[in-house]
Amino acid sequence: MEVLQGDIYWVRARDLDIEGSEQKNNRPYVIVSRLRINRLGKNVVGVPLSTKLHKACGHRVMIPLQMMVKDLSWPLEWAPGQPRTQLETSVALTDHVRVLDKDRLTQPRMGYLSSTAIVGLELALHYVFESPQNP
Amino acid sequence: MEIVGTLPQESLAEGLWPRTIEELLAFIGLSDKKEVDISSRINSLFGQIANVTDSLITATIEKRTAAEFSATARALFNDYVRVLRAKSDLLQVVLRNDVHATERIVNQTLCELEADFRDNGVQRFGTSASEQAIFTVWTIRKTAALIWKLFDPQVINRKLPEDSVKKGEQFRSEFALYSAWAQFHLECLTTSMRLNKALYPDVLPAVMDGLRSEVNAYAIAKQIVDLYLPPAPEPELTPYAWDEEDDELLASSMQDMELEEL
Repeated sequence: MEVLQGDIYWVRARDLDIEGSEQKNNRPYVIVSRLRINRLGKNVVGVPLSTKLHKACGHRVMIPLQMMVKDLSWPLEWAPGQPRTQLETSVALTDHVRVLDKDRLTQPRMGYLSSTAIVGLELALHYVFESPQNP
Repeated sequence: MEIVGTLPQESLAEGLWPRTIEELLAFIGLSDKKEVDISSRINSLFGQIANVTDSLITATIEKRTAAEFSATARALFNDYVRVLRAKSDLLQVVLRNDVHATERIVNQTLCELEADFRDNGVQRFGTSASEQAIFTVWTIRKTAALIWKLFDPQVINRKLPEDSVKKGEQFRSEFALYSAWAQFHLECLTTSMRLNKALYPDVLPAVMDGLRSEVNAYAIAKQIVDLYLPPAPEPELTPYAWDEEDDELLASSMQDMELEEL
C-alpha cells in the first residue's frame, strides 16, 4: 500500500475495531511523513484533524474544505443507514502529531490535501519543532 | 485558490499585482522605517505615509461588529496595498536598491514586532490572539527568507520556460493578495496597541482569521521559489530491519491514541 504525504485517512484507534465502527477516538489523520519513510516500515506519521474550529490558533492551522480533494472511492455510508464521516473544514492539531500503524488506516483514503495546504502544514510543524536556538 | 482561514472575497486591483520578483518586496513585512538613516524630508514623507496607513487601519478597527469590520477591511484593502507599495518604493529609493540593507531592516522590524506581541500581546488581546500574531510574524519571517533567495543574481535573471512564466505570474498575484491581507490584519493589532485603541470583542476573531492567510502566502512563496530553484532529487534511504522495539513503540503510540482526549 502506497501512503503519500498529504493523504487523509480514517484511522482506527483500536486493533479490534472493525471497519465501519465509529469509536470515539477514530478520526481522520493527514499523513505528514514523506513517501520514502512511509515505504520503509510499518508506520507512518500523521496529524489528527478536528472539526472543532475554535481550536484553530497559530500552529493549529485551519484547512478549508476547498483545500482538500475528496477521494471519490470513499463511500458515503459504512453500511446502509450508517453514514461515514466525510471531509470538512478542519483544524490540523499539529501538536498532536502521532506515529500510526499502517494497518489501522482504513482503505480507501478519504482524500488528500492541496499542495498549498501541505506546505502550510509543513510550516506549522516546523513551528512546533523549531529549536529556539535556531529560529 | 483559497486561503487557510479567512476567504477574502475581494481581489487586488489589477495595477497592484507585482509584475516582477523585485516588486514582491512590497509584500514581505516592510513597515516602520524608523531606524533608517535618511534625510528629514524623506523621513517626513515616511511619517505622512504612516499617517495614511493609520487612518485606514483606525477606520477599520473602530468597527463594533465582525460584519462591519470585514466590510470596511474589504473596502479599504486596495488603498492599503497602494500604501504598502508606496512605502516599499520609497525605501528602495532611499536604500538605492540595496537588497541586503532591505533584508536587515525587514528582519529588525519583524523582531521588534514579535517582541511587542510577546511583551504586550496577551494583556491586550488574550492568549489565543497573541499566539496567532506571534505565529504570523514568525511566518512572515520565514516567507521573507524564501523571497530573499530569489534575489540572487543567478536566480533572478534565470529564464523560465513559457508555462512556468504563466505560473509565476499567477503565484505572484496570489502571494501579494494573501500576504497583504495578513499584514493588513496584523497592522490592526499593532495599531490597536500603539494608539491604545481596544478592539471590540466581536472583531477580534475576524482579525485572527485574516492573519491566517499568511500561511497561504508562505506556501505560495515556496512554490515561486521552486519554480526558480527546483528541489534536488532526494537520495534513496537505506532500508532498515524492523525489530521488536519498533513494534513496541508503534503499539504504544496506537494505545495512546485509543486513550487520548483531543
